[in-house]
Amino acid sequence: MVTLWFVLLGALFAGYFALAGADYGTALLLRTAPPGRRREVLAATGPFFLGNEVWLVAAVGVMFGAFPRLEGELLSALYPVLVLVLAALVAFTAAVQLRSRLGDGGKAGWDALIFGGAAVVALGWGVFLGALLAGLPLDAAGHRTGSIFSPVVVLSAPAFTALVAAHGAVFLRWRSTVDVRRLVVPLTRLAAGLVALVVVAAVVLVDGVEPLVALPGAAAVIGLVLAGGVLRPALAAACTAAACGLPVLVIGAARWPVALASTGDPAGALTVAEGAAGPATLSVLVWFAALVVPLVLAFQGMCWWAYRDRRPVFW
Amino acid sequence: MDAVVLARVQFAVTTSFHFLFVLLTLGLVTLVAITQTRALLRGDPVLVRMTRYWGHLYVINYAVGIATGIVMEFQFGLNWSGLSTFAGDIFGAPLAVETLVAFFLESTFLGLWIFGWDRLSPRLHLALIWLVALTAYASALWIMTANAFLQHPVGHELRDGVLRLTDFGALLSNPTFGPALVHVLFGALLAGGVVMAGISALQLLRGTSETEFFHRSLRQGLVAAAIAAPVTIGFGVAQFPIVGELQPDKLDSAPVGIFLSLMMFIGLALLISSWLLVHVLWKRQRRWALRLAVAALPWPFVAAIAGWFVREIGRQPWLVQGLLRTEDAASQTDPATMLASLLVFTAVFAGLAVADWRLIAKVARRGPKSDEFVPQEVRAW
Repeated sequence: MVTLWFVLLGALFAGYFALAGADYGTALLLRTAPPGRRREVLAATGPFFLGNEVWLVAAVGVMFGAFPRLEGELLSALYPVLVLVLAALVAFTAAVQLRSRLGDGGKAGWDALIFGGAAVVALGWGVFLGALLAGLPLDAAGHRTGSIFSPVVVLSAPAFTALVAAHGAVFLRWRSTVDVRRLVVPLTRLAAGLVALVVVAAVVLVDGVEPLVALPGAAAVIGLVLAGGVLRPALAAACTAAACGLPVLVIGAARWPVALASTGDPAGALTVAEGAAGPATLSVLVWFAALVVPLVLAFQGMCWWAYRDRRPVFW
Repeated sequence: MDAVVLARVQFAVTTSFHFLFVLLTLGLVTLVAITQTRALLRGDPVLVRMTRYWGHLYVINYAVGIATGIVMEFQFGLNWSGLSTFAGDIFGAPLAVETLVAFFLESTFLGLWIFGWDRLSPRLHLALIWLVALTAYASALWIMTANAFLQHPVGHELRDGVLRLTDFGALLSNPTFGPALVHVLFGALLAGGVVMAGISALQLLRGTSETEFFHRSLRQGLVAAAIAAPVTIGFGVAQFPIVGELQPDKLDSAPVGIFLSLMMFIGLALLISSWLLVHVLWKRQRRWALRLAVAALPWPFVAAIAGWFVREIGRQPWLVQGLLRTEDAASQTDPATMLASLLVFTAVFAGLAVADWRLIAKVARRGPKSDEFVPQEVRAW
């Protein structure tokens, strides 16, 4: 049961990174469009925006319900990073919705909020993923004792941001009237290179990661993002979305059965089982998940189907 | 200042801002769904335009407010990791259900509704707004379940220093849950009705050319408020014996008493004025009565925040009544970090609230447009 929930948690996070990656990635490329056409960039994700962002809410909700101790330790250990990510996320979400509504002036300010918000969010999730991979400086009581920034974390922030930006370019090539074709190949190559650097740093510096899972996983991420540069637009967008979603799954699987590794005292590590709620809670929750997840998939699928014609639309 | 105080202030600030958005969202969605149902049944073009106009205001409030919900959710792990560690098995379960059943599904339905005007059949489109409304009520239901557990912890046993769930059903039959939920839902409908009536009255006072549109909206808002006010008050009063039995000291402290009196005074004033205005404004438009409807605008929100303060301050010093003290639940975060995050979130939320109200005011002043809130193909903007 615990394993099932950990898989669901991973799937929700992966879904969030894969779907909302398009929101952040397109926003990172907002400034490559001339000011008069930037709304077309936002409209490319328009009908899907809310649906994409709520995957995060679902993921954190499941983490709170099914893995309360993991949630408490992980979030408070990453406190300053997550505060920045959240503030940026709030500003970004609001700015995307408000940009075209509060009068005609001040577009430059909104654009800065959208670009800056998306950049901080992408970098912050890169730090988050890097910390999951490298481990946190936890003491025996599970509390953070030092800085979370190690070479792996410092590299994974730009690597994930580049992945997201590459996905944004591929996504815009597929769904937008704004021309970003020239950016696709350089961005996918940059992302692949940075991910490879993270892998090298992790191989040298990080213990406790299962190489038979991590290395094929990392190869798949690199392969998918490079495929995004050569395949036809719709398929390429699916590949780069998968490349954004895959890292969290690879890290979770390669660290199994540890959920939260410690770089300091090994006793500080938290296993998946230790982080989970009791069996009674998990078996109650499973009914709700079994009801909701298929419904969400069906209705979000319906939304993509209704807007399959690729005309940019915004409310 | 120590970290616990800062964490409490941060929780109060973010919850209050969040609740301002939630209250209007919950109230307006009901009114929009009713209007759209009537529009489809009668085929009345004014009702269709009313659905679009009030739906537009609703969507603005939802889209801006959703971000505050994300922060709320993270806050438990960030600032109150002691709560997750000790009571996460029970407190976390309804919150997880809330995010799945309500938040996750609700946003999916709403996204389809916003963009579905011209692409889905009218019946499916109507079904979607009711699904949005139902999932929004479900959201309130599970949040109140979690909150009721803090007031009166049931359905658990203490094993190895941690609470484990023994009876999920007990969470839903908790006496501090049912009446409070009805109180909150009708309080939200009251707020929605007052906002609809207030904005309509403002338009009529300014001599709008859309007289029929706004007079019908005014009546609908007033009827909603007149129905919601007595139910809200009734289910508020019904909680006194429960509180008296389960949390006898709750209403004793001075600030709690002040917030309680304020809330009750506003409730009574809204009850009387909504009943009076339904009669006075049904056929005619008297200026003094329209001004009263405008003046009522902020008060349901003040009353709602006061009500939350009563419920939450009254529980102190406990986070989980009788089981976990607030001071023992705070995360081990250093006060400087906590202060910085308090300032960041307060600034962001205040900015958000101001932007939301400015935008709602702008659309409210402008009145309905012919292409109201139709998802548009974007060329340039």
